[in-house]
Amino acid sequence: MSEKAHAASGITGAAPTNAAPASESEQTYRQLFQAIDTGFCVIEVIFDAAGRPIDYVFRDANPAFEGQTGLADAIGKRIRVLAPGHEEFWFETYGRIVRTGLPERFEHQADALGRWYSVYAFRIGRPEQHRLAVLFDDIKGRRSAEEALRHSEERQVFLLKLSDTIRFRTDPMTIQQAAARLLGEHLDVSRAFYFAVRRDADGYVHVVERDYFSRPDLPSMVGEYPQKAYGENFFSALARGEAAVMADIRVAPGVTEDALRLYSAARVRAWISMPLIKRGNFTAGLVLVHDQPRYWTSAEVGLVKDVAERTWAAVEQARAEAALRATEERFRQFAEASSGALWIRDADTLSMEYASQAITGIYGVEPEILLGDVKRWAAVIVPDDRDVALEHLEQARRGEAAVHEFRIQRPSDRAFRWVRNTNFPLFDESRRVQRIGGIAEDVTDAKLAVEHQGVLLAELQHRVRNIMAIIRSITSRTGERAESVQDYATLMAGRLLALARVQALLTRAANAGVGITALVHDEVNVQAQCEGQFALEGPEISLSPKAAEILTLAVHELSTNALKYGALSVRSGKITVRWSTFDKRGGTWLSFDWTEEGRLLGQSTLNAPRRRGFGTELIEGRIPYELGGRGQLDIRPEGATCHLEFPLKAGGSVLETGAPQRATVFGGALDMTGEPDLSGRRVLVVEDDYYLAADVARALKGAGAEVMGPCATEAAVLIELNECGADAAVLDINLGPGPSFGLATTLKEQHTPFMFLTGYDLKAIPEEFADIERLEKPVQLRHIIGVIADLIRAEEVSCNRRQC
Amino acid sequence: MAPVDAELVGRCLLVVEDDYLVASDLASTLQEYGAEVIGPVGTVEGALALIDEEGENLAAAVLDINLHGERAFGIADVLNARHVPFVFVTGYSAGSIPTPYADHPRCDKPVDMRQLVRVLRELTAAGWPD
Repeated sequence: MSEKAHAASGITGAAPTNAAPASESEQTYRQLFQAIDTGFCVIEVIFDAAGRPIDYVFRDANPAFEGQTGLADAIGKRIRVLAPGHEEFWFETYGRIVRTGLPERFEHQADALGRWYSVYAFRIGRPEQHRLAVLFDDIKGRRSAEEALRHSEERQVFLLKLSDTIRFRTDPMTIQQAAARLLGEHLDVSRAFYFAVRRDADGYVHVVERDYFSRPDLPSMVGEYPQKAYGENFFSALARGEAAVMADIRVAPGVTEDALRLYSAARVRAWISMPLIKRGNFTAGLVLVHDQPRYWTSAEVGLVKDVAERTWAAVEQARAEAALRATEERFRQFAEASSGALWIRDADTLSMEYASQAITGIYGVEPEILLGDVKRWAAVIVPDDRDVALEHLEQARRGEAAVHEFRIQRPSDRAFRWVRNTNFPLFDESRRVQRIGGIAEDVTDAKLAVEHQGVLLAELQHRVRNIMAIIRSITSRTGERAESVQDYATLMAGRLLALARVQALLTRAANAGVGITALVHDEVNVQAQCEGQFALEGPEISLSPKAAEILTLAVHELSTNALKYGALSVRSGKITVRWSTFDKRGGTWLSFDWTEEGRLLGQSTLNAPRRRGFGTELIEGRIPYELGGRGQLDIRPEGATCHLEFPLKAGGSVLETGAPQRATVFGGALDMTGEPDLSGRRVLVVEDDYYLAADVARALKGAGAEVMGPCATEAAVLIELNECGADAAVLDINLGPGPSFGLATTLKEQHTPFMFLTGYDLKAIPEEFADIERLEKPVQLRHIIGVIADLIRAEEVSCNRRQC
Repeated sequence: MAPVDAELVGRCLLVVEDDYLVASDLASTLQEYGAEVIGPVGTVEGALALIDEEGENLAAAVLDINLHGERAFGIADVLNARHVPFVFVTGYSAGSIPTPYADHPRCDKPVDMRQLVRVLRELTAAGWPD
């Protein structure tokens, strides 16, 4: 086309003013230019006095010109008039072409026309005419696509950088800080900051808590900004979720003087304010501010929107994570502080995922030991309670909470302990049981205390009933001997009071023996008329409850008798009580003497019993019977004498009862108390059932044995036996696919005695092993211990014989 | 005082009770019912010795469970082995007696003597169930 244009020079370029007769070829070219879409025009460049190109005038144009420029009736008009603000570039370029006569091809924008042009311009006519022919195409569409592509790439690079910057930040504030800085620097603005939104009676208030990104020479933006004061109309888009964009507040229509002053003071002229609408509410926003007028591009507005959304998401995530961390930290502290052990299992596999440190206090092992496969835990439970404990997990898996108690044998010291587990389902969003949570407590002490309480209660009941029996006995005996109803009532009252004093003494405190001196003194003193009527001589001795009881009652009978008939019945009477200890039959005995003296009234002869009196029976019958000693009472006219002797036994308060009580937990099938002692014996356990293997091993350990294995395969057995021999072995015949007697043969050759654990009948066992001891599953663990002990004994005997 | 009941006459009964007063009451009551009383005795050791001594003569026994803090179950086992029936006389309730003995005939203290006699009559009349 350019060649054609050249050809046309001087012909088509002819202005209408100096029109020349058109040749045929000229006519042809004119038709061509009339027809083409490319814009074509002839311009005359105008120079000022100094020779600078300052304007140009359109002299001719083809029909496409108007479409390509948007200029109508341009002919004869200056471009400066048609498009003020036309770039200097155009004048300089056309001026140069006029001067040099060299054609130029270029692309440039013409913003005043809103176009981008691809241009070819060349000089026509005479040089002093300053005329150019210009062929041009509007390429704005193409340029916009390129521009968009470039922006999009830049945008992607920026957003990538943004996400790299904020990705690993966990604090919401630093995420916002970093994003504001990146965005502010990228778009070269004076400020970038986030604000929160509050709504009060006057409308929205933007609350800026910090400056985030701000050029250092600018005043702080921290504060509250009621939209009313700053011109609500500028921000009305925000509540709808759209950006509010301002290019220059100073030329904006409708801004009040007051608002303008506020903006000026804050050095704010242009902005993009991007709202964040969350859950239907305008809750926050991201703002870019410039202190100069700024014509924001849609790409910039889009970028601010992207950044606002992304940082919001990151901030929300960080907040959620922080909240989660706080929750987890609280849970951790709670779990660590709790004396109950907290644990969590996966509901599908029952695998233990978490156990707090307190589990160590209960199970005696680090939490890690119990993590994973549920068998690790279940094997610690005594066999008697295991199935029920597992069933409780199933119950939680079905969505029911449950509290249950079971016994474990603590692996650390093999003690049997009671554990109380509270199991509860943990649901996911869809109400499916995802995990099972639990709290474990060691309730052994509480259980033993309750048991002990029960024992004490039973003992109390026993004692009360015994006392009732004794009272009944005393009642009937007193009744048989009383001389009158009055006498009966007096005697009964005295005896009951004595019995009550004994009870008070005996139940005074646990582990407190009863001192003999106080006991005798109190009983005599109750009856004596004045001090000095009796003398007590003897060492302080602590009496067992039974001795204290009988001695109290005996002294009571003696002093009542003395008051009625003996030394206490006259003022001149005197009682001397002496006691001491002596050795007899390899033990310490108490010798106790009661002597009365004084001028008596002689009524004592009345007491000469028609039948043996209550006091006599007590002293001469009860002391030998219950204390294993002897007692002798002589009642003579000059006063009574009594001699008692019985062995002293240690004994605490009746509260320390001999009633059956257990200071330890009964371990059920695993409890080897009273079973043969296998200390120092090495016993090999070959059994492929996990629980049975664990139980047999623990039973053997409970009996003191050292356990080899348990082994589940023959190969494992051979490795064990290679390291050291066994004193005996427990052998499961059926390892894996079917019965196998290879190991039995090996053990027999090594003279290692063994027994079979089997589910098979006798026919399945080869002749040579027919006499081997065989326990059928399910086995009593105690039986295994018994058989192993027998085997070891027998082997020792035959070994000695072999050596002989 | 108490009516002599022909069914205890001639029966040789062991009384094991550590409290003297209760023991002598038991013994005298049983004697009034015509029984021949062995004991009373207040210790496990003493009771076992008497059982040995009496052998086949023993028709039944009355056993207190707590003998100066010692349990009488050892005596119960020996009596069981010899097929000698016995009744517990105790202040303990069934709940605090170990399982093997919990279901055994029992008279609570203070003892209702007529009830005790009735139980002993049944025990000695029926013989020892196999």
